[in-house]
Amino acid sequence: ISYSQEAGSYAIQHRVNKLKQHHRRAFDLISKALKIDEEVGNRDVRTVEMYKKGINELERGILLDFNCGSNKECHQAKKLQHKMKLNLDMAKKRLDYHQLNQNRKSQSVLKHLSLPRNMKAP
Amino acid sequence: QTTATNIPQGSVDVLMRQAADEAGLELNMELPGPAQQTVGQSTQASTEQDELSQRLARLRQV
Repeated sequence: ISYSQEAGSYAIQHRVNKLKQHHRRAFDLISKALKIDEEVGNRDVRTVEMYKKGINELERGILLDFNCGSNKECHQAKKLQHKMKLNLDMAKKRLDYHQLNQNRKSQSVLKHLSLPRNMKAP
Repeated sequence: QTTATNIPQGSVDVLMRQAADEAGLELNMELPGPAQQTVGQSTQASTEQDELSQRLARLRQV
């Protein structure tokens, strides 16, 4: 093969490796978040942070360009990206759910602290 | 043409085997080739993403 072909395949390999790195980090973070989520529900604040970081990794992986033709590596990378996109959507929804719960919690705390409307402050 | 391309593959193999015997190495040891490894890894990645999908979907139903 020619030098340019070789350089091209190195570039693809490099992106594939990057994709795998993002997948790995996203997988580790989101599985940890899911574990807490499954066990204790929304009571843990760490889950929100882990979902956020995991979502960021998914996004960075999905942004890599694999429009490199019929190459087998590219095909597999695109398939993986497709799965990552699905998980990105679902993880985002889960994050929304947690953030909504957090807001509700802080609102109820505020409500508790504030005086009823018809009551005047002393 | 270089010298390397002039030598028939057969005699290269014989020479390799001789050298391996002398060094006490097992030539047929199955080392994972680079191509095989990437296939294995990406299917693993793909299964792991599937696992995440299932767990995320399960939580959504709760």
